[in-house]
Amino acid sequence: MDYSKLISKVFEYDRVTKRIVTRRNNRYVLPAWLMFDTSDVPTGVFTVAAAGAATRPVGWKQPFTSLNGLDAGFGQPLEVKYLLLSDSSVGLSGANYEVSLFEMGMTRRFMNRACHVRTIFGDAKYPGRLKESFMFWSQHQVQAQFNAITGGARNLRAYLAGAQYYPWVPQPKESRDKVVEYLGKWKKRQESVWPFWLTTEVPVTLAAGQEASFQMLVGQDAHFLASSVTAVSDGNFEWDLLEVKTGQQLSSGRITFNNSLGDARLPYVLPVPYLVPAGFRLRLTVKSLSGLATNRIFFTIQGRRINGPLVDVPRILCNTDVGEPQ
Amino acid sequence: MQDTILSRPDGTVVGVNQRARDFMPFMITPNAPNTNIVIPAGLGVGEFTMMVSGDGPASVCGLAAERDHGCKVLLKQQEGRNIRPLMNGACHIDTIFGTGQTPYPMPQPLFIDELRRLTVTLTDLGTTPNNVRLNALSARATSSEADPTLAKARRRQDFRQFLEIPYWYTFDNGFIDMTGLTVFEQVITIAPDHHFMLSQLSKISTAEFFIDIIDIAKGESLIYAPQGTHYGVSSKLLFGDGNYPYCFLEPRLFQVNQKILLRMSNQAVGVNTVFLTLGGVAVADRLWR
Repeated sequence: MDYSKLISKVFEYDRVTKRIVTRRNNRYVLPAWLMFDTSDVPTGVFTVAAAGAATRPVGWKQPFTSLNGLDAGFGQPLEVKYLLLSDSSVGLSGANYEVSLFEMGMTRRFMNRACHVRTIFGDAKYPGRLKESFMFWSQHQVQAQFNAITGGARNLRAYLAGAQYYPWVPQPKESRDKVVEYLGKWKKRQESVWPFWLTTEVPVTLAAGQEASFQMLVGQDAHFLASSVTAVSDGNFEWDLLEVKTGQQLSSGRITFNNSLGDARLPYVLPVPYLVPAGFRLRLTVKSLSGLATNRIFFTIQGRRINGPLVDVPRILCNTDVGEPQ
Repeated sequence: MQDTILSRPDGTVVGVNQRARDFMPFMITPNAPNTNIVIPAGLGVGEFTMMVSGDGPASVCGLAAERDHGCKVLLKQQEGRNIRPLMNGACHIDTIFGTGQTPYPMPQPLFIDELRRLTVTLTDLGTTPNNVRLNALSARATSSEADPTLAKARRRQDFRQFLEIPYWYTFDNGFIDMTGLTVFEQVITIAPDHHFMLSQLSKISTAEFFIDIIDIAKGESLIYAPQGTHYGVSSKLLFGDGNYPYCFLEPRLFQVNQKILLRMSNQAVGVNTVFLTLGGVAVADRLWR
C-alpha cells in the first residue's frame, strides 16, 4: 500500500497557516453497511418462517441524498463488496436456508436458482466477498427471498457492506469530479457486468453412496466468468465438473468437499477465472461419501455475468485495453 | 493473461476476451484408480503419479488434502527418466497440504505438463488404515495452438523451471521425539546442487517448544534480539501449518551445502513429537557460477 497517498487523502498542507491540517470536507466516500429496508423491517431483524411455510420477500433499499443538485444524478450509491449475515439463534454456522436475490430496478437476477445462504453470505471475520462489486444506486431496491430448509422459524440480520459515495460533497471540487467520473464508469459497466451465483438447476439430494449428475445452465443472455466455488452439505461427497459442449474437465479425477471446497467465508478461489460462454452448460457429478441416508448438497459457483460479444482481442486491443474501474 | 472484460475508458463494455478460454482452473489428483489412496497402517505406499494430459501445461499453485489421520508425504518431479526430488525427506502431510478452504500456498508455482509429472509416496503414521485424497490446485493453459504466445510462455516456464522449483526441507533425520524439558539440536543440510530461498515455515507437534534457527556458516540466527543476542522463540509464534504456513515478507537465502542448526527446547513434560518443514525455492546452482 502506498501510505503517502493514504496520508494525503486525509491530511493536507495548509499554505496559509503552514500547518498540516485534516481534510475535513474530504468525505466523499465512507465505509457503510446497509440493513433491510427500515420501512419494512424497522428493527432490522427479519423472521424466516419454518421449513415448509411461506416466507414473505424482504429487501434492501438504497436511500437518496443530495446537496444543491451536486450529486450529478447519482445520489449516494453504495458499492457493495461484502455480504454479511447473522442468525440470532445459531449464528452463521447454523443458518440453514436458501436465498435468491433479485434487483428490482434493472429486473436483474443474481442467481439461476436459490442458493444456500452460507454459500453466499459470510460474517464480519470472513465476509462473503463479491468478486464483482455491485454498485447499489440510490432509490434502487434488491429483493431477497429466504426459505428455510429445515427447522423452525429463525430471526436473521443481513447486511450489504462496502463503500458509500457522496458525490455531492462540495469540497474539494477535484475530488468530487473524480468520484463523479468513477461512478459514471460504473454506470456504464453495470449495464453489462454484474455479480452472479450459479448453482444446480434442481436441488441435490443423495442417498448413502449414491452418484448422480446435475446441470448448471449459464443461459443464453450473457457469459459467466467463474471466480470461486463454495458448497454446503450434510456430509462429505466427491465431485467433478464438466463443461458439456467442449467436454472440458476441470479436474483429472474426483475431488472431495474437504480437499477442494469451502463456504462463502473461505471459498475455494480458482487460480484463474473460468469463462463459460453464453449457452454453455456445466455438468456436476457428485457421489455421496457419507453414510447419511440423505445427503443434501448445495453447490454454488460465484462469479460475474458479462453481457457482450466474444471478441478476438488482437484486432481491438489497441483501443480497448483498459482495466476495470479503479 | 490479458483482461477478460474489455471496456472503453468510459467504462462501456465492448466484449469478452475469448482468449480467456485458453486458461482454466484445474485440479490434479493422483491418476485413476488412485484418487483415494488407502495406506495400510504404519506402512508406506507409492509411487503414485499426478499428471496432466497433453492438452496443455498446468502450473500448480496450491496443495490440499483430505486424510483420516497423519502421514508422511514425499513429492518428486519426474521428467522422462530423470527424477528430481522436491524435498530432502518425507514431510508430514499437515505441514505442506491444507484443505479446500485454506490450501497450502506453493512457495513457487510448479510447472507440470505431459512430460513432467508429480509423483507421491505416502507413509502412514497411525495404527489404522489411512484414506488419503490429494488435490493439487493449478492454473492450466488449455492449448498452445489457440494462442501463439502460449508456446513462448511455455518455453519461458520451462526455462524458469530449470532455474527455480519449489522445495521443502525437513530434519536430516526426519522427525524427532523430544523427551521432557530438554534441549535438542537438529541439522538441516542444503543439497549440493542448489541454493535455497527459505520463505515458509510450518510444523506439526505434540506440544509447544522453543526454537532458534541458526545459519551455521555465518553463526547468525534468524531471530534478532537487542544487542545482537538471539534466543529461542515459541514454536507457536514462528510456525504455522499446512493451512496457514508462516510466510516471510522477504525470503532468506541459504547457499549450497550450507547447514541450518535448529536448537529446540521442549516445553512439555512428556514426549514431544515434532515434524518441521521449511518451504522455499531451490535455485539451480550451476547457473550462478
